[in-house]
Amino acid sequence: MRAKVTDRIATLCFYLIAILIIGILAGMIGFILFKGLHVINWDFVTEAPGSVLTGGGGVGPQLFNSFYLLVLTMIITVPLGLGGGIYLAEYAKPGQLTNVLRLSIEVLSSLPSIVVGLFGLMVFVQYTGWGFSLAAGALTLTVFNLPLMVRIVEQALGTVPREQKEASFALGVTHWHTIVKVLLPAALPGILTGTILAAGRVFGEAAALMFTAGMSSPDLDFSNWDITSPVSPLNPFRPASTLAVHIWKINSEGIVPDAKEIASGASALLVIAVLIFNLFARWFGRLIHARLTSTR
Amino acid sequence: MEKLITPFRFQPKTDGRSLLTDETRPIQLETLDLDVYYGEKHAIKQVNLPLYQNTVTALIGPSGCGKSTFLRCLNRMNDMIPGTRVMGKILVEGVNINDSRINVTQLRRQIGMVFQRPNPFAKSIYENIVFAPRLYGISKKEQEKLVEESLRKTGLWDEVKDRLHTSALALSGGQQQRLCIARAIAMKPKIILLDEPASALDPVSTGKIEELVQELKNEFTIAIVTHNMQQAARISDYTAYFYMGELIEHDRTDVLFVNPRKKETEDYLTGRFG
Repeated sequence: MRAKVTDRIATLCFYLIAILIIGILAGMIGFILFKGLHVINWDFVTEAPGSVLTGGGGVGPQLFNSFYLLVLTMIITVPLGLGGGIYLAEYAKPGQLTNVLRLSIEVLSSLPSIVVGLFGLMVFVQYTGWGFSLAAGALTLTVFNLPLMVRIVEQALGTVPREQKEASFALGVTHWHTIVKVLLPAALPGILTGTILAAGRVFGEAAALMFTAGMSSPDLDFSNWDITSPVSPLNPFRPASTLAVHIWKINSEGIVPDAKEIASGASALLVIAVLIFNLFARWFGRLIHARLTSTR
Repeated sequence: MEKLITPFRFQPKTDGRSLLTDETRPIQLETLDLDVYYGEKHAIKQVNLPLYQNTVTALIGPSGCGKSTFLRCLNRMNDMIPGTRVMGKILVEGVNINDSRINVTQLRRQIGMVFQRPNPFAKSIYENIVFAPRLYGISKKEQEKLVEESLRKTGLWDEVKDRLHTSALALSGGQQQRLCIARAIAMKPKIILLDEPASALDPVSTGKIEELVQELKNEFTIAIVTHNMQQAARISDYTAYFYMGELIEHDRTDVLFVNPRKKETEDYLTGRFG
């Protein structure tokens, strides 16, 4: 009888916790959308911010910067993360060196982002002489996305059944081909989930970017595809404020008359962008996985 | 299996040596004084065992007797397990393959292996077969031929020819295992090692695998580990009985089962073991 009551109470607790989590999420998204959704329209999404005096305008460049920075960061992070994860999962022999490596990764992933930002300012902004730039921002974000990525790849590879590896080895397939053609495809869902997680941090990060990618965006000419031009949106060596940084800036030191509105609208836009990105990435991952495994 | 009369036979001391010295068949593979250590554990002790060309050799013995360990030495799969030391010689056509200078991936192309649990890749049926051969470069035409040929030999062709490009994981366990065998023979090996290939399968699938083994010996030399003594008696030409890492007896299957030379073998076969 008592066991049954305990079971009931425990079940109830878990339900309550689940409801609480959903409630917090729904409440937050609802609040952000409620406050910001009415600000969002086509102009807001595409236009550059208005002048300090008149206000108005949009967050077009910032939205673009967020995505572009994401792409740049991932171009650096994913190959390095794959390399590190594959090394740890498949090649690293247990020993002192591996222990030190693991410890370094742990420490790296627990550094506060503001500290990483200051490090980026010193090394990627000042030492390299690039100034505030997308490249500096991307490299700084790589510093704290890399440990996450490495661990995700290592864990994803670790979940691939040993039998798959044995099967490949027994056919006279080399270790390298086994990794590329058997293990990585099998680990893809896990790697993808992790990559989306890492990407989400790029969207949301502000502290590390204020000092590296900068808090302003030059007047961009979206018809200019010459990546060396300072007004080209594709130039990786131009300063670029992302949506998250823009929200922080407008909220804390914005002097435009409609600062509150812009911040609310940008917040809603950021949430929507993250959602769309997540859904798209998952769909794309499933597509690739189905292609590789011939399911469906 | 019932033994009525025990004729007197000279019983030589084996020292793990095969008692078969009068065979005329050519030897495909032979181990000489093979020792295996897992860390401190002495898993295989001084085993000398030949595999004769185009025959089936069954390795039997109680769990933990070292028969699987022995099998995994023959294509150097034990290399994958850290802390394993394999000593002694494994001769294939006069070459000692238990040598660090041997190209293991080349070796495994010649000595195929099928495992206890069916382990097809999470790819299509077609891809499962051509995956490894393709890495060594074969044309699209040859690939298609190879797939059909391998699947026909394993009796799978008629069952799966309409869904070659669907996932192999959708097949039944027995079909998956036959696909694994098809995948192994697609590499055109000389020897196929089967590690309890039917122990995870239902009786019908097991029967198919057994028939298949009988057919395959015309083309390949086969070593099969099995828990099932009836199976060993049904499908093998030679049987090797392992106990505690030692090769107790190796003989023609018809002789070993009816008339084992050793008391230990007889006890195991008649179930008086332990």
